[in-house]
Amino acid sequence: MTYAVELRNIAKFYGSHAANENVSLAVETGHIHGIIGENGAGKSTAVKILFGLEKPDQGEIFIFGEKVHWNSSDEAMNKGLGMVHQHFMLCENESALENFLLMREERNFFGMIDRKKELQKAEMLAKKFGFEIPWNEKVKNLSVGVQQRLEILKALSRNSKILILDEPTAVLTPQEINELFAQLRELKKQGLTILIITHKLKEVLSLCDDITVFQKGKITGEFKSDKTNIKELAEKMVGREISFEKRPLHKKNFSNANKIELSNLEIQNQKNKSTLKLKNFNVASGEIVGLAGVEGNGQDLFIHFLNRPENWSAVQGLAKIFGQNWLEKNIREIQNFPISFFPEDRLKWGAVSDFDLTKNFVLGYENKNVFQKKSFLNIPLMDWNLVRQKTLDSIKTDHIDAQSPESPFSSLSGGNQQKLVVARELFHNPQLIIASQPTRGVDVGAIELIHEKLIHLQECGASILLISSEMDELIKLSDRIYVISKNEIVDHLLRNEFDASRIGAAMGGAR
Amino acid sequence: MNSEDISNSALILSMIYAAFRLSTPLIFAGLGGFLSERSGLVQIGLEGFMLIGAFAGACIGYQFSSPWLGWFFAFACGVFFAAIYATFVIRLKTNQIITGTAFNLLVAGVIPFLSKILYNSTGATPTIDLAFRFQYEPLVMAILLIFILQFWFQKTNSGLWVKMAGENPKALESSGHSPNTIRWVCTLLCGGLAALGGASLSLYLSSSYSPMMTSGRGFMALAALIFGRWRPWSMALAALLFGLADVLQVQLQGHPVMGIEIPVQLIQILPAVITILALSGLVGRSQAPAALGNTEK
Amino acid sequence: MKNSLIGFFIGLAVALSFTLFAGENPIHIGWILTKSAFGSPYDLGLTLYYTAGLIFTGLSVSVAFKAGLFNIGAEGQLLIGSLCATVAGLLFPNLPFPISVCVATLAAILGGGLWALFPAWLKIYRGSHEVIVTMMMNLIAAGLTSWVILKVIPNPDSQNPESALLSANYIFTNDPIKKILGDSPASWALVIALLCSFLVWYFFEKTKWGYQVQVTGANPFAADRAGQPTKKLQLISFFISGALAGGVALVEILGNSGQFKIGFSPDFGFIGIAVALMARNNPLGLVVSAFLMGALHKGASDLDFETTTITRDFSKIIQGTVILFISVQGYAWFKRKKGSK
Repeated sequence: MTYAVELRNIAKFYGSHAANENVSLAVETGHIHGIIGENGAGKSTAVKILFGLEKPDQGEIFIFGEKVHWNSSDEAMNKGLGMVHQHFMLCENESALENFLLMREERNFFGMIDRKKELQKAEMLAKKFGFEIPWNEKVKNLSVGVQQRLEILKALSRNSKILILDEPTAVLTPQEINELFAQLRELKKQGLTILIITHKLKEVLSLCDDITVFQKGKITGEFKSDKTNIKELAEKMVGREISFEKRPLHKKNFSNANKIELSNLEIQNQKNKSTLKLKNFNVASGEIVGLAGVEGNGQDLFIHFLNRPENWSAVQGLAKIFGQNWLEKNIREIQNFPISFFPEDRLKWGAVSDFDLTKNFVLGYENKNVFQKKSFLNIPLMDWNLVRQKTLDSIKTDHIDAQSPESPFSSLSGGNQQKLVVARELFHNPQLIIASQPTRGVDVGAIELIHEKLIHLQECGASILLISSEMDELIKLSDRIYVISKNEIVDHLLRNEFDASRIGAAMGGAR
Repeated sequence: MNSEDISNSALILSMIYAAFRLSTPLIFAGLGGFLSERSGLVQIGLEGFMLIGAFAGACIGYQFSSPWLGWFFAFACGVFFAAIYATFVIRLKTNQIITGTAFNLLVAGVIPFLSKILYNSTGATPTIDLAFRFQYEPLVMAILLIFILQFWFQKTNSGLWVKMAGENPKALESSGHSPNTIRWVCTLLCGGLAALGGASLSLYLSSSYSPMMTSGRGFMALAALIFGRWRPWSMALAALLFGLADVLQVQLQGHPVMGIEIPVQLIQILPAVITILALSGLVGRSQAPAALGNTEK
Repeated sequence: MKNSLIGFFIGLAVALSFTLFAGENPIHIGWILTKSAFGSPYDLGLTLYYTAGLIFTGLSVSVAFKAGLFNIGAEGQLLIGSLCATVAGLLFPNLPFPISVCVATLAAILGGGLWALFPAWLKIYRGSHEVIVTMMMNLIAAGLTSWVILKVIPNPDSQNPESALLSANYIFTNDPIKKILGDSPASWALVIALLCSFLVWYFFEKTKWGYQVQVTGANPFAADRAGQPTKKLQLISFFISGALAGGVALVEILGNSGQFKIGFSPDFGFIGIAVALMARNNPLGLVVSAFLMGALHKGASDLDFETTTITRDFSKIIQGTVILFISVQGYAWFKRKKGSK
């Protein structure tokens, strides 16, 4: 029997680091095949090699039994491979059709484009797979789901027989995910072979026929999806047992004062006029409160409001944080409150990757007196020796894998970067922590450390607002969960009401 | 219609024709800049490419008493220097702005160096006989070229690729094309076209190369491109406007308007002022290609 | 800095090898450059005169760069700064000596700073690209200064394109630096330039504000989240950048000629980009790179009469190739840093 795709003994090294080693993988024709693994486990590298974006240092690739050797992804496409990247490869300022035209088979430099004919062709193809795409609309005006469909059509446009999808569900609502899966099953019926890369175990179990697990650049397990379960997959993925238990609930009585107390609040950004309906929302001392939602549904606005209230005004309602009217505050005053933020994207919002660790350790806290020494004329001077010492202490206590406080931030792995950011944010003993996607893109060791720290803080009476798109994390850690959708809080669940499908439905906008 | 009216309208006609003539170098260089910038590369080096073309065209045009030979040689030289430029910017990924600046400096040094070797002088090159100068040809070619580039950009595969290279090179790459190849082609053509702009200065608007004769026209072409929102036709119109400012400057020299003498310098800076207004959104908003200048990753 | 020096010498070697085309011996040309740059106290003085100017423009480019902005407009800012100093000097000819110089310096700082503030404002509040705007501002500055100098304050005693002379109150008569260096164009402005590089270094390395500016420049999103006043910091930095470029007025107007001669700047503003690039924006390393570039410029100026085939324009070839090769080095350095991951 011939496989649609076969990788044999693939290896790929970056310097001395093996991104892939001894990777052998066979994908049956007409199956949906899942590839799972943690960040940095090598699954993306393997797929890039398969698609001709990277060259393997060792090993062979077979497509439908034929040995191939790619020089570019163009050759892979000619052999019937199509790929949908995690970050869409679309040009926002151009129409869907223009983007689609890039995939034309005619590659002649001066080849003429007859846009009327091309539009007909595109519409035919869309019809064949049951997609609907407004071809003349600019991509930036299309919803994420439609953009993804456009990407899938692009990948299929060259008579592709093998479709590769890299983390296709990361940006979708649960409803959109269901639609996508229905469409993929339909494509499978039409005879396509589909490879899907993800780190979401439930999805892979519900969609795929076969599953391959990557860990640290190697394949650690191959399963038929009807003969395995989440626990087994997770253990192969991580390399040891992990718990899916809810955190035990320690009922301790702290003063009942709410750290965050929003009553019937609706706020508007003074600049771009976006509004946010937060309604009644509170976080008490000694409580972890989750905020569930698909990214881009207002979480970033909420964080911006907490961080920069001077840019917001109340349409109605009241916002009290630490018992004070938050809308009267500005960023300078906020820095005097014991509040800290874990950034959702550390490289963008929470660190300067070119700077060393010491300089990243004061980011956002350079106004604090501890780190300053006064000079004549009252010019605020930084006490870099002290900062360095504190950075070194954190590196030791949190087991951050770094050579010295002078190493550049970018030289750290994702998990160690996040550990440093967390150490910085917790250094000043915050009483309110806004933890946004605290474990995104980090390894299991770091996830456990960060979860432990959050639980410890909560036990000591701090309040934590956990903003996450990982359902498992929310359910494991939270005391209560709010759900946000389209800039509005749409649901509120107590711990005994936690139910993934109800949360998922609320995230998608259903009430 | 009395005779004064006739002479007035004749004057206006001649001024418009002069504006067309003077905008020719700007149109060539602007089209070059158009290719480079739409493919995603900031082009500060237009001034340098123009200067090369002006010098190369004048030398060969004089040597062989043929404007056409000079014209083609200028194009070839422009392409050659653009290849050096592209090696640095695309292959070695140097900063485009710094490289462009360095390149302008380099050219400003290379030309007197060659001129000294060839003619033992760093001044103007020998004058080309009037019979061996262009009469109108560069202007016609410039206008034709606008049509050609517009058509190419809108209707062909490679036109689409150029657009995508400037908007989202990753999208282009993921569909199996190489943004760098596109950028190479665009940069080479840009060098050639800008050099033709320079050659139309020395073979069409005058009859020799004189030191630094481009006098900022490369930057003006860039300004026209920005004012024209990175589109060939609008760019050409902006170039025509700048050409008109150039004519006015000559016309107004020593001729007071309503008793006030308008300083030449203030008309000279007009294109720059207009460009800043255009960039600041006060006179229509100029939006650059999304990936302009981002090749370092 | 070490890699920059390698780039510098590769660029210099490449440029010198061009002289083979003119039938010259590159080593001989190199020797002429060296001799002419350091041969006598007066020669050294001229070199140091260029050095001082380049320190100012180099600092200007590098301060803006640390704040995440590209100041390609130092040339225009130094022209406007010098113009303001000249105008101030001509307006108040009777101010007593030290005050007069302070007033002219203040005018130069304000002139250069405000000229830079406008493009920075456009960038920050209207999103206009600062490179193009400052480039256009260069053209405007050139037109504007030439109009003012030729039409408003021309030198009545000369046909040269230059302004009237400042009064003697503006000249430091017993300048020790001039005395040591054989009455050359170098002046006390060199000391101010060195002082400025130290201050800029101190600002970025030691003060909180310097730290904040660097964060703003390296990652504006993180700076904003950290509550830093990013817009204000960028505006102030660009003002300082322009003011530093205006410092060239001290080197030329107050320290050397006592008047504004059109075309006095040998592209100080553009070579300043190279100086900053070579020093990797380190204000102290910048002194070294400014000295090297200054020496090159002075050295080349004697090629006119030391050789028959090569002219002073050769300095532009050297500067161009040197910048090209330093920027390649910059890339290699960048790559190595990433590769060490």
